[in-house]
Amino acid sequence: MVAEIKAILETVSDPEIPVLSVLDLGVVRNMSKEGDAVTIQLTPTYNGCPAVDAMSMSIKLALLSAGYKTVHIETVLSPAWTSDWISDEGKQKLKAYGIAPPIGKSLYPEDMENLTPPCPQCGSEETTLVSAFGSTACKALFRCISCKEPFDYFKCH
Amino acid sequence: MPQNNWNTVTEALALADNALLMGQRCAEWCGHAPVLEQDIALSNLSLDFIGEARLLYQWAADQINAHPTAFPDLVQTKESLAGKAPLPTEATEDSLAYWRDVPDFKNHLITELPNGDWAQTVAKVYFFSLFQDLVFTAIAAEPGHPLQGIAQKTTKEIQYHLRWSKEWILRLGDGTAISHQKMQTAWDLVWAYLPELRNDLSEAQQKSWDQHILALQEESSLTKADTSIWSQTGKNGQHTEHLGYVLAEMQHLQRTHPNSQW
Repeated sequence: MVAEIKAILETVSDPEIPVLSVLDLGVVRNMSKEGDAVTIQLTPTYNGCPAVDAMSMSIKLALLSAGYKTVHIETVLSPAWTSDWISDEGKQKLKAYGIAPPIGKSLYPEDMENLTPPCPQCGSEETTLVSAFGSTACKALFRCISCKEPFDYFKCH
Repeated sequence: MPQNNWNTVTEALALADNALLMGQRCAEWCGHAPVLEQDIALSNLSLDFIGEARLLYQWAADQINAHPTAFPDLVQTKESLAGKAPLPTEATEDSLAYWRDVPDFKNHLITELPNGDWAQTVAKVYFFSLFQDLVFTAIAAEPGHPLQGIAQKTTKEIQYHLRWSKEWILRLGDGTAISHQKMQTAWDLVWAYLPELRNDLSEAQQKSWDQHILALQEESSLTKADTSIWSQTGKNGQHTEHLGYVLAEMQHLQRTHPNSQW
C-alpha cells in the first residue's frame, strides 16, 4: 500500500526545482499508513531552506486530496540530508533542466575553486566558478568557457 | 574549565540567539553588498543562520513547555505587553525570538555588533563560524546529546561559511595597502569580543581555536590586536547598546501586530 503513497509523492515537486519530485530529492525518509492516516518522515535539505515548508505543505495537500483523512509530517534531522540521496533519475532530470548535478560524494568536501562540472547546456568540461553562492542555498553559479553560458551547479552537500 | 555542555535551555537559547542575530545582521547587507554575488552570499548565510536559530528555538520551546514552572518568564509573554490579545500562551520559536527583551537575550556580544564595513563583517562571520564549528562538531559526535541532530545538520553549513569568510580575510589582509589596513582595523575591533567565545570552549577546543586564528592571521599578514578590553557579559543578559536597536527593528512588526502572518 506504500506504493500507492509513493505514486502520490511522485507528483509533488520541489517548488524551487520543479522537475524534481520530493522522492527524487531524497527528502522522504519513511512513509507509513494506518487506515486513513498517513505518516511521512521528512528530512530537510538545508536548515533555512524556505522550500522545505512549502514541500511539507504540498505533500499534505496531495495526500488529503487523494482521500487520506489524516496526514502527519514528521521532521527527521538525523542522519542529516546529503546530496548523495538525490536519485540517479533525479540527477538526470537536473541535467536536462539545465542544472549541473552534484559531483562526487558528500563525505569528501569539494574544493569548489578547482571543480569543473560539465556544462549542462553544451557538455563542455571547460567551466569556471562564478560564485560559491547561488540563487538558492543548494546551488553555486558557474560559467561555461566554451558556450559562454552561465549555469547553476547543485552543490555536493 | 567552562561549564557548558550546551544541553540546558539557557545554553541552547544562547546558541539560538547567536544564530538569530547573525542572521539578522547578515540580512542587513541584502541590497547593499559591493557586488551581486556577495549580496547573494550574505543572504544565503542569513538563511542558514535563521534556519539554525529556528531548530534551536523549537527545541528550547519544547523543553520549556514540558516544564513550565521551571521557566515562568518564558512560558508566557510578559504581562506588561499583554494588552494586545491574542498573544502566545506557550513558548514557541516565535515567542522566544520576538517577545524576549534585551536582558533575556543570552547571545555572545560579537553577534550583536553592527556590521561596520565589509572587513568587519567578514571578521565577525569568521570568528563566529569558527566558534560554531568547534561547538557543533563536538555535539554532533556525542551520542544522546539532545542537540545532536541539529548539530549534524548545521556543521555541514558552517564549513561553507568558514571557507567564505577565510577567503575574504586572506584576500583583504594580503591584498593592497588599503585593504590590509581595513582588515587590520576590523581584526583589532572584533578582538575584544573573542575571549567571550573562547571561554565557552573546552580546553582542547581552545587549543584548536588559537591554532586556527594564529594560522589565518599569519597567512593574511595581519598582526595580533593590541587590546586589553574584554567584554564577556552576553550570557548574563548584559549587552552592548546595539542589541536594543537591532531587536527593535527585528521585533517591532510582531509586537505591533501579534501573530500576524503573510
